[in-house]
Amino acid sequence: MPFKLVILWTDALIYLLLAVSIAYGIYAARHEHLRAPWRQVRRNPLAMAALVVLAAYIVTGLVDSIHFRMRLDVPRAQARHAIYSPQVLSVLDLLCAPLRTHVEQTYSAPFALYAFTPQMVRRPDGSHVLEYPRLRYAGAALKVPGDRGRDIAVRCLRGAVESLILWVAVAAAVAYWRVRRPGESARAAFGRLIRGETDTPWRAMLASLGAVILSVAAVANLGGAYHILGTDQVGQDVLFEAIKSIRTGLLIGTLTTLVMLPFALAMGVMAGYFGGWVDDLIQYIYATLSSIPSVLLIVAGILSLDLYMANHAAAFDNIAQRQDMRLLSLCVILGVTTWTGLCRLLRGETMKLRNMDYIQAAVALGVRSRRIMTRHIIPNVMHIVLINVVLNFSGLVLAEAVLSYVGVGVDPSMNSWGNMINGARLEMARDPVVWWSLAAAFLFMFTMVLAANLFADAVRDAFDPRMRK
Amino acid sequence: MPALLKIDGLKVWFDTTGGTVRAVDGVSLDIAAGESMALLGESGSGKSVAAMALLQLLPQPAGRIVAGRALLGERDLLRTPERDMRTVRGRRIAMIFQEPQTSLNPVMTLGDQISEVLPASWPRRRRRERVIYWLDAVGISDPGRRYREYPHQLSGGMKQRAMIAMALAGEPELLVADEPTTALDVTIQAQILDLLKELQRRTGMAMLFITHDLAVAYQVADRVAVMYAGEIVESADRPAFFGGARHPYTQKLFRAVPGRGKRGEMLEVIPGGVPSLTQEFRGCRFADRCDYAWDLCRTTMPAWRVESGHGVRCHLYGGAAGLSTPVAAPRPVAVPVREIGPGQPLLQVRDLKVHFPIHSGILRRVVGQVRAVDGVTLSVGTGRTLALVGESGCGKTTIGKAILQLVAPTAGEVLFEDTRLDLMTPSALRPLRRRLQVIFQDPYASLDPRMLVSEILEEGMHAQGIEVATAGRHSRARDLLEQVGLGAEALTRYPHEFSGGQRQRLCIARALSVEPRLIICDEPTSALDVSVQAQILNLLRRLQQELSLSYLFITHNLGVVEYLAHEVAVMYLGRLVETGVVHEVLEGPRHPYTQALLAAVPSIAGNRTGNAPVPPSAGLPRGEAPSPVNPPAGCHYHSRCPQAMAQCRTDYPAPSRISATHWVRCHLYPADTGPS
Amino acid sequence: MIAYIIRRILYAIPILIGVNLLTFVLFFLVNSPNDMARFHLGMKRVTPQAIAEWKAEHGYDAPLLYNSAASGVKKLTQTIFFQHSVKLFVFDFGGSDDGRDIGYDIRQRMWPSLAIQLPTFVVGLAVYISVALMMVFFRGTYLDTGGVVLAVVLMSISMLFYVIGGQYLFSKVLRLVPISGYDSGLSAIKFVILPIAIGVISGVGSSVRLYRTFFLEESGKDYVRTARAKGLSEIRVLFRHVLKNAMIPILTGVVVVIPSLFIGSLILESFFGIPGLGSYTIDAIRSQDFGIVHAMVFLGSVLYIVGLILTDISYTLVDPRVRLG
Repeated sequence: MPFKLVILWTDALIYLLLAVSIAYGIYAARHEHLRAPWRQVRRNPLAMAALVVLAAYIVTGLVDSIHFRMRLDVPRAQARHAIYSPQVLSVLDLLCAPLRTHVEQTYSAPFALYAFTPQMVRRPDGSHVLEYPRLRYAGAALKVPGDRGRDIAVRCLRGAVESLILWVAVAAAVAYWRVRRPGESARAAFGRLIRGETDTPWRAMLASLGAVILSVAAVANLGGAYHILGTDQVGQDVLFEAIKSIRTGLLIGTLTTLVMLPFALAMGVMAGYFGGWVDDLIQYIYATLSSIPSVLLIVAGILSLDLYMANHAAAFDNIAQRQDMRLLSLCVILGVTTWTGLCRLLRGETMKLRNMDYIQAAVALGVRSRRIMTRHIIPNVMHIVLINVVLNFSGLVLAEAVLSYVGVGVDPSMNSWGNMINGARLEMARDPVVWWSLAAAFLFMFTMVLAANLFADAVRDAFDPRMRK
Repeated sequence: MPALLKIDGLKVWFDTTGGTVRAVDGVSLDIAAGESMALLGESGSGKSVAAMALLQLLPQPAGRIVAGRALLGERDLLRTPERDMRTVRGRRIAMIFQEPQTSLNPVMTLGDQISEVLPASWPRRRRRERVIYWLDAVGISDPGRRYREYPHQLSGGMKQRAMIAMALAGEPELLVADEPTTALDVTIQAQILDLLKELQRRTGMAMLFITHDLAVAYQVADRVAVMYAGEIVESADRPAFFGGARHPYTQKLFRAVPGRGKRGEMLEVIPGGVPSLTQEFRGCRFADRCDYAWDLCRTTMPAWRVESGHGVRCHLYGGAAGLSTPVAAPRPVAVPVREIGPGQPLLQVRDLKVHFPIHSGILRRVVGQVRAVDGVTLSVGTGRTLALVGESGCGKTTIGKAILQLVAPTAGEVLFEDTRLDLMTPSALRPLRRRLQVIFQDPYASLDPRMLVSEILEEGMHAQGIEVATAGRHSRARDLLEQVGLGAEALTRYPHEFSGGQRQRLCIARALSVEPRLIICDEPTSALDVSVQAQILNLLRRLQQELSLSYLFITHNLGVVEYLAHEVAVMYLGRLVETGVVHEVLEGPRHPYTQALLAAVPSIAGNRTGNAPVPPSAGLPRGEAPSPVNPPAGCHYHSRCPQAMAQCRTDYPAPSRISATHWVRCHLYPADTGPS
Repeated sequence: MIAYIIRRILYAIPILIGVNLLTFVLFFLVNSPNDMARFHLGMKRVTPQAIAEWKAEHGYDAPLLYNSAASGVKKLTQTIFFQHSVKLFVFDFGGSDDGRDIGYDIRQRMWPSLAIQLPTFVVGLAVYISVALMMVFFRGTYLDTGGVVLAVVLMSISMLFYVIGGQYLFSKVLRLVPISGYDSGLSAIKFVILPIAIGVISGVGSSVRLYRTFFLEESGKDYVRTARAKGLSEIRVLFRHVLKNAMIPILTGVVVVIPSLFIGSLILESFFGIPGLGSYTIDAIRSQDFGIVHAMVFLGSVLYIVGLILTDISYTLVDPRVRLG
């Protein structure tokens, strides 16, 4: 085989999460009480448009979560076994190969052909002059630098035409397969779709899909020839870094919840259902954990982890593995600080449910406690869990940036928006400023968090009984 | 008399996700100055919505007034801008609501809340005096102190009095009272109704009294209008209305009220439920549930016809027939009531006590007890119904839960078929649970909203190991549904798809699924409309006779007791004050509390000639029940008893035997040392 | 009331013991003092002697929990657990890893923290409540809808963006205030004004949205309908009835943080060079000073618990139904 699959811990967990989500989807589709609120979410144009954007992020993150090591080309005679590169790559790295490999010397501005900082260059006559060297990859295909404007315009136009074709194809497919009623012409269906007269807000979804397609087409056409968002201190393409950071953001936002959910659910429900000493104990645990300001608890945890890793360096020699363990630990520690809130909510709700007549009726029927908890209580608190999960997501993504800035976030060598901001913040003092790393990180983060917030809002409105009026 | 308020063709629609609900669909009504008009209807008939629309207090933005006028003098209330409405609300039309618990602002003093109604230009002292005047006028003792108190420091009845004071402080021309006594106990209801009538007489204001209770309407109204599915179907002066209701719906309502006179017959039921208001009606709205309906009723909307002040919307009274020929009531269906003798007791409760500790202080020491149940002895025979009667907070629900071991008894014995339930471990108790089951009050809270009906019905069978095979459980669930009068198609549906009455049927089916001998019915009909209540009572009685079930029937409704029970136990503050066979207790009540309860029940006087009702205030207990934390010494009832003697304040009365089956605990009767 | 407070303080003791045990486990059981010494001295070629010296210098040379070499009470007190954890209960924070007195540092540095945090808190609360009330007053209009969307957009922006953007715009481009630094007395104003503004703005989205739901929830209640039926104006209904009741859930989240204002904000203080406890913590993290982090964790927990007690007391002020006992 030309490659060897590498499954990192976080990869495994994210695919587990994907499986859980799919299973939930199937379960929800079969249960009316779940289908009805989701139907309400589906009718919300803003939420569905946000979902399309979110889906683009998620797909990027998933593609970035298939890791492997390439086989090295060693002459057959010398190698008894196949030798694989120590570098762990992902499928996304292959798809973005030009972005990944076009590494310049140091800073360069977006679409620049010359480096941002002047360098001492030795002239053929032996004298030294300070000049802005030409970049190695950006605009390499240009014959004269003056052609840049025209070249960019041509590439943009090509991207626009490509995305228009693709978008029309998708829209037509949606109109034909999803919108068209029996006996209706495809043309009429398309008309209804464009006028927004569909139950599911296809128009809004296609609009945001159009934006996504256009962005992807722009990157595909321009990314190989220029550095769209410039390069950073070590000459790495900033756009590529921002894209690679998507996975980190997604993982922090989802795995943290996945890690803490079983504890919060089990503890909250047990405390509320059994009361007595079980309740006292669980309350004590979460009172203790929540009394430590969460930033400080994370600091304490990460510092301790740093020390442990430094003293057991041998176990974390592979850089990908080290990054991965650090990320996972961060998720666990974040989970420890966030589960108490959910646990408290679930405990309160369970105590309320425990006195509901239908639980009392189940007790009177002789149903066992474990069955009451799994069959009655957990299904009736799941809406709280779901609301909590979607609302937590964006907060965690934002927290990652802050923690990385403080120095207790993900591994400093890992691609993350927090690290990008942290690395670029000092360059704000330069004149003119190096703004593109910051801008890229904030833009990517803002888009994802906004989409997540809009979607979470719709989910909360649909699932929270108090929101129904 | 000139009309004070003239409502004409009022239509209020609600925009919901399920479509447009025509909650009020063309209501016309006149109220004269000083008149008392009862707007009668079951839940969902639109009566409250109509009243809210008058004050433009509909929930926004869902509700909208589509058509109509409401003239208060020259002013059309429905088209008055919000700014001017403020001069109408509270000043010309005041309103009191059903739930005194939630209708007062919890964080403001009563004085502040009532003062808000008074002109802001008045000096503070004048407002204070005025508020105290009104607090006094509604019968709140020590008004100077109450002025500074917060709502939570008042009992439910007191809160409703405060609401009335707040409404009257603006000296309105019209008082809209939206079910003001529904949330109150029957003795308090009688006090509040008396108060309202008295205040109306003194101030000369008109009153629009919204209620679902025929007897309450009889007590307060000069005229009655009946609403059904968004429109008024009948309206008449009180004597004419109670002397001879004309609309088939009204007639049925009268016959669905349970009572002793109907003991030997099935209660009249109105089949089905109120039609969905999202549709546009073509014919009569009641046609589908009406015994007399014919083709015309389903195709043409009946017109409103009035003859000598008695209006009705029904095709029966159209054309040549005229209004003077009321339709003869159908003969009630008699059912042979198989009275089973006392026989072997199935359930015996001896000296049961349930105390809830009150913790306080640094170490949370127990500083007191809520004596919810304080020494109750009762027994239920096979195939018989014991009614446990009492007002809210007297501990009757706690008894039910303690028998089921859903709360742990503090002391006493619970014997079921000679087994001490109170001594058993939870796991040993589990197989016995199939023998005694429970039905709760609120049909909306007693079914898990996340479970299919089939899952709900099969849960007990699964837990008790009845019908281990899936197919067996399914077929049994279908049988159960049939037994309670629901179709098998219900199996694959969720509880929210059913109406309140249907849900209560499901609860009964769930209880029956484990073949119990005794069912504890905790107010199973008090959340239901009268017509639906009749269906459930009929069902419970039929099941008792078919399956020889025993019921412990917990209720506050004496009409239901008279209809269903064999024995009665009257409870006050955690203790039984009187027990006996139903006719002994209800016809010859001995304990002053039982007498007061019976006197307080609003009733439609036996003669339907339309004489003014006798004020029920004679013999009513004073004030409200004290807290079970500190029950009065001696007889618990002495603080409210009009006949209390010195002895009552010190000694708890021993049981006195009135007959072999009739016992009472009161110093008015010589103590008997026989077995209690 | 007094009894209640005493009980709450007693209840705090096991929680603080738990906090201490947790940090102890994190700091001394996951990694031994030897690991810590090696870490601080640099990884390569550390002699056992150097490690011993480092440990002695920083008070990590005793056994963890039980000192069999000592006598009497000292068997328990001459331990790392006692010296580094138990002493915190009397607010003896000990020395930092580079030998400074932590207690002194904390007393010095909490005032600059407070100079940022307290105005942020007060101004923020006033702004959030007023904006939310205004949105509820205009509920159902475009003003409300637009406000909600704007709130979601604002809360989707990272706090770092507000800080960096604010600093760039006001300090670098407009040159209205110095980029960073601090001064004592009134001259601190020019240093703190921007952090305070940024602190308020960064919280505006989430808080306004939350308070708006509190107000909306209250304004759907029965007593509000009663107030309207009395003929009160909408403004009066909102200010006299809704606001007072909505203060109860607002206080739940707000009062608890008041004591923790001393701790300061990590981000604001480090960006603006404020010598408060936030930047103190950040410096400790960057130099991996366990002593300081340990002290801050304990201090944070104590302040949080004080905040909880204050919350309960504040309920008695706004909610007449609450009686502590």
